[in-house]
Amino acid sequence: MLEAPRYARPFVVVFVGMLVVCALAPLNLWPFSNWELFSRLRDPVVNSWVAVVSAHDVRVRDLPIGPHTGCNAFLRSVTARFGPATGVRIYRVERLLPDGDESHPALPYRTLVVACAPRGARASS
Amino acid sequence: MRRAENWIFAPETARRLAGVRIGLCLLLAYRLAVRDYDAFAARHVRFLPHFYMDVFPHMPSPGLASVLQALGIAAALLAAFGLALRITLPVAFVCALILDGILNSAGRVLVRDALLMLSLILIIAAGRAAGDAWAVRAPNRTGVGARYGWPIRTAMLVIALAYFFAAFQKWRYSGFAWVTSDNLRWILYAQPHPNGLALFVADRPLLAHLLAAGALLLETCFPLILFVPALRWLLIPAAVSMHVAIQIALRLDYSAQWLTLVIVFVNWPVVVDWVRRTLAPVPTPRESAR
Repeated sequence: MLEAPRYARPFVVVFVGMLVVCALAPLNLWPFSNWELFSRLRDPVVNSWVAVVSAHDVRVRDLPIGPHTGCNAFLRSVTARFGPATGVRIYRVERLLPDGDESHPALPYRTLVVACAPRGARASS
Repeated sequence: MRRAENWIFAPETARRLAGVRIGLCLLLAYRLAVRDYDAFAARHVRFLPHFYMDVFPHMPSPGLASVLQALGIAAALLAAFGLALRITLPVAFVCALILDGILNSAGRVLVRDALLMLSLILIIAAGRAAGDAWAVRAPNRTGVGARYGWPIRTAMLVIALAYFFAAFQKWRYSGFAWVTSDNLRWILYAQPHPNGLALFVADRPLLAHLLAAGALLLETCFPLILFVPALRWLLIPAAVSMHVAIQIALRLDYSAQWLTLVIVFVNWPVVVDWVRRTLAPVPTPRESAR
């Protein structure tokens, strides 16, 4: 019978301990996940965020973005992609789910969240 | 506590640990091969580094992603053959860690490969024991002992806890409303283009409640798989079915998770011996008489 190495016992304690702590805290220290898969309740309204980018020669509509996208970081990334951007408008889009009636889908409703410009952001009133 | 320790450090064979090593390394090579990391890195200029990806000042370049992908696949395949395990396994793991980090640094952290990576850490921690059998230029030991048991059994414990914690978070944040509300229906409807199966379930509230209850019950009871081995015949196919149904209805690929589950829990030497016996030529009556 071949024994386990001496480091095996403390290793298992730390490894399983990390798994438990990350789940309970919760912490997402990937691959030690917090395992929060679909854990929060959904409702029939789906929110998404889109950006409309105006640059010198292009106008890009409805670029999907995350809810916490900051103006400065986003302006930097669109400048790298499309050239100097003159303005970015971020909208929240609300969509009501069909509840079995796909023949009459509700139109999405959009609200301006913030208008970003190289000089600074202007929040929607 | 003593009983838990005895369970984790129970003896297994060198061949069983080797079977898990081969399965996980082949799965890793497959996962690295099927994804287009360089295109992903090129497309996602917005870099939101997750955890260890903070070491990169910006999204790794498509060129670096391609090099890591090729190196990771080659190292994982060599590790599957048991070649230079102390080098190939960590190299494959680090390549996969960075490539998964690229996917996780675009605004959304994906759980999908987490169990595979956690199980690979245990195979790396097993050291030379993982290459004692079913390896090129290996001693091909028929050894038995805790040396081969603890990585497999810790991986089993980690997998069981992962499913349990997925249920625990649902109980924690949603409670029984996760089953009784229209939660599952809204998840299915919320896709940009729900397919036939998604709409079939979402349009039938009672069916959606039953499936939600089944999923929550399965995940909550999953640790029983460790104490009642006979339940593996029920819970493992149920978990695989759940993941396949999710893949069809929601287009979310959890194949790395359910394949890791199968690779770790199946006793591969028993399967190999059964296949050998089944495929072995049956001696003719004349040969038997000699």
